Amino acid sequence: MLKDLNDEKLVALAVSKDPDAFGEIVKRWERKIFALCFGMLGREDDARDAAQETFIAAYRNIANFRGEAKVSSWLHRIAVNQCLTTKRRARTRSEEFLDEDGGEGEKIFVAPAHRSPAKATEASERLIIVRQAVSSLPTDLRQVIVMKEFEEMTFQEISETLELPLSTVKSRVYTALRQLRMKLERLPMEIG
Amino acid sequence: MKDVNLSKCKFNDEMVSYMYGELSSDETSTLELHLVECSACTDEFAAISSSRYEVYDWKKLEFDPLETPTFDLPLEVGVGVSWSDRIRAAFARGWALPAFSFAAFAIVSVVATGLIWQRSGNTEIASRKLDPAPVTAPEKGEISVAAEGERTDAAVEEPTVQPDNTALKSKRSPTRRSDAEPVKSTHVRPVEVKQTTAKNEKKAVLSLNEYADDEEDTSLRLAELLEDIGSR
Repeated sequence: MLKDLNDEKLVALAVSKDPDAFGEIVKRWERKIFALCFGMLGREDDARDAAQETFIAAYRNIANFRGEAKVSSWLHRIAVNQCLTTKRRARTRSEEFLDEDGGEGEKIFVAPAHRSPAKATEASERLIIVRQAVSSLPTDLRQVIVMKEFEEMTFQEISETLELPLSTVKSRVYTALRQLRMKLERLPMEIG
Repeated sequence: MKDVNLSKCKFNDEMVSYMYGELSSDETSTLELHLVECSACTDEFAAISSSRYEVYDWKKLEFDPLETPTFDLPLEVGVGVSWSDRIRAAFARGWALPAFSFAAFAIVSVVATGLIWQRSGNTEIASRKLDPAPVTAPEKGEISVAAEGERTDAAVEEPTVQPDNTALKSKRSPTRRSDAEPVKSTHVRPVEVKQTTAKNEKKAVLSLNEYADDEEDTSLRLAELLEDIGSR
């Protein structure tokens, strides 16, 4: 079973032209790569495009993967480069005042938004786990996460509201996200 | 649980700010160049991005579909807004002071004009009460009231001796019959008569606010004639 294989073995199978192996890699890392792209680009549509481009680029260059680094790091690096390319392209577009017609062709690879019943169940399970993870954070960390994500306040506004130094607020957000990552490790990885 | 970045690059705060789009352009360029080169920081950034996206997705799926509750606040009650505050707020506007001044001037002008008009009317009536017109001796079967000066109140005015005084005739009340008409009316209004005794004549004074019909005038004339005859 492909699910039982680690990333390195899956890559080895993909290099040997096993399409299912690469499909398993995509399934396993799709959501995290999408989240990384979302963290860099800040927009879901752009992040989805960048994630698609990342896996296309990985598939094209999978023969060059030598196993010196982890597969996740390799994918992260491809994703970062892809996001920077996307940002650079967006800057060029805005500078040249190109209309949106030029970008339509690049959205061909956007995944359909529908959800199967199995994925809907998965998504609801994930919501429960995330809710529990956020609730289990210490109060000071949960407070800044709620203010940042739900209230959509800037770091400066949180700093003024809580009467804390700006660096302390950033540090608390970073720590909260780190702790959440540890609690969410058991989450399913596919994009819901 | 250790909450430190596994890399030693110390870009934690920058990565968080970058993820939320709150990094300056120079710092952004620096961090992006570093992410391309540093695998540890790239992995770290991927980790916190993943956490952040899970919270973002949770919020989007569970909270965004919720409708914003609406509240009907009882604004009519006016919490803590006194009348003095409202007046002060009204005068705080630029156009309010001239507008209120003009309105106050207009109201004062109207009231003053009304008072002056009413006072002048009362003075005229009072002067007529103080100086009643003597009733002249009847001549040729008609009663005549000698008015002192011209009287503007047509309702109380009696015809003068001159039959062709059109000015006075035009001032008569439209309900009053002309001098040439015979006395037919049975509607007699009360007449206040003041009689003064002179040497050989008596004068009746009509009330200023009322007028006598011709029928009343006739009875007065007859009474005066009888008294006159008796005295002689």
